[in-house]
Amino acid sequence: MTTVLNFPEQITFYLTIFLGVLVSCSLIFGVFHKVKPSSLTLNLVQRTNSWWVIYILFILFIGVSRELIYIGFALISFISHREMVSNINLPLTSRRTVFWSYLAIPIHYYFAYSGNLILFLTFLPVATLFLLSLRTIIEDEPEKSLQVFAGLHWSLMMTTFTISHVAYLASMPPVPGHENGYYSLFFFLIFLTSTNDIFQYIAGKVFGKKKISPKISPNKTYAGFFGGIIGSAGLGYAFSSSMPLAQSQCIVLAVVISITGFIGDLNISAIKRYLNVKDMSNFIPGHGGILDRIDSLTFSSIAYFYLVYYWIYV
Amino acid sequence: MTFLFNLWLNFYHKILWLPFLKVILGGEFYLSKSLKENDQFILVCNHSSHLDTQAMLCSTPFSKLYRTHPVAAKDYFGKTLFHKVFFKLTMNTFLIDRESGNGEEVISEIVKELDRGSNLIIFPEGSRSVGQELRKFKSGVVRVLMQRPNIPYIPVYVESSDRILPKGDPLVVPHNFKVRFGDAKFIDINIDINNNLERMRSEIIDLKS
Repeated sequence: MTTVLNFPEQITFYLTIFLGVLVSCSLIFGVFHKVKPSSLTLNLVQRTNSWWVIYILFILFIGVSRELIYIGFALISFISHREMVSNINLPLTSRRTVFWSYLAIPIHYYFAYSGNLILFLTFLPVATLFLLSLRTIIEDEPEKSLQVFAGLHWSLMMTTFTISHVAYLASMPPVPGHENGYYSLFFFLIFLTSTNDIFQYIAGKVFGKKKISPKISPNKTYAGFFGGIIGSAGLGYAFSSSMPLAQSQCIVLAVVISITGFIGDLNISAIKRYLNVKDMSNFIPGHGGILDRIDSLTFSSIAYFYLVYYWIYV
Repeated sequence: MTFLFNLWLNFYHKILWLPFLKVILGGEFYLSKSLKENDQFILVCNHSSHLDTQAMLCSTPFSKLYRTHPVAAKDYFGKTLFHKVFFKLTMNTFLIDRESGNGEEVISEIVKELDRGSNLIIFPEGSRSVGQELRKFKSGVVRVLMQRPNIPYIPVYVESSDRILPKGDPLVVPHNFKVRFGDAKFIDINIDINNNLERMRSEIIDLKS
């Protein structure tokens, strides 16, 4: 049977199991919520629904063609950057500088697509640092200039530079003797980053007492943090046969994803507390904005990319 | 013919514009059920960008789009024949002559349009505002409603659309904006025009929070 999806056999197998889990979760939680609705069942149904979104987006953006990966992640970066920029309330006089910061996103993703590592690593951190100031100088508008430069550049780094490292996985040369290609790298990162949230949630609900950061995010506990690490390590071990790495390396990767994902989550939470907003936007009604969904991925993608790069290509 | 025109308008606004407004420009729509429940209404909205009209047409229910007209100034949207035809085919505008100096005639034209069963989109500020503050409301909309007090109006507040396309700057910069629809309200014929206007204004501003 020919399909439009290019996933190798092993990844298709994992995805089929996930589909089964999702369908049964939807059925079980759905029935529970129908019979005896409570805030817990509502939460479970909503979490399952957002899992469906991750699952379908993963298949659409990563399984169909290599080009779609970059387009999909560029769109995610663009929407997150817009959410960030909309919340930091820059002066109207800086709108041309803001426009340039949007233009940087497709350029950066083009460098990722072309696989030019030097341009990919220097354009956003270095060139836009200069270009954003240049646009403001041309405009001759000093109003809140530090806020404009710092806000736009930080937002670009946080929403575009980090997330694009996930897309860059598809630009890395194929590993000899490994038939799953970049699909297993994507699968490992994205599914572990998202399941980490579930392990943290369950462990926090069952054992959670002592809070890690009561001011930044009151529902993060030590028990949840360690539960996330242990659960992720187990899943990393389970998926290790699909990866072009040793078993022990996969477990280390999973633990690193869990820790950095946790920090990335708190990082965006700290910004939200400062801005005094609950969600960055209401892009997905009932679930908040895109940046609220990908907060863990902002840090875990960076750590994951360089660890994988170091182990496979150096 | 009306059916085809309605199909085209729905295609233009709901298939072409709505995804663009939501995904690229960052619009969030908070519809109210009064749009569906009332057969006829006047949408009364603050005005800080050309985007406001587009946002409201995108939210109008399928079966009412062909008879929903933004009330627009003839001197701006009917400058040439091309302007006239283009805005009629895309926005389904209802042109009024705001510079004629004969307010009563314009009012009676609008009332006649209402009697034909049309819904109207009216910006009581008269023109796009600059900055956060709403302009002084013009009395036209209340004077129309005084003649047809059984027709409800729906207050709408569009937040930060001036960030995307402000007055006097053609550059479009994406920015999250919110479109909030209130519940349908009726004019109170027992109080005078200015008090009704004041009430309408506060109903629109109350949607802001």
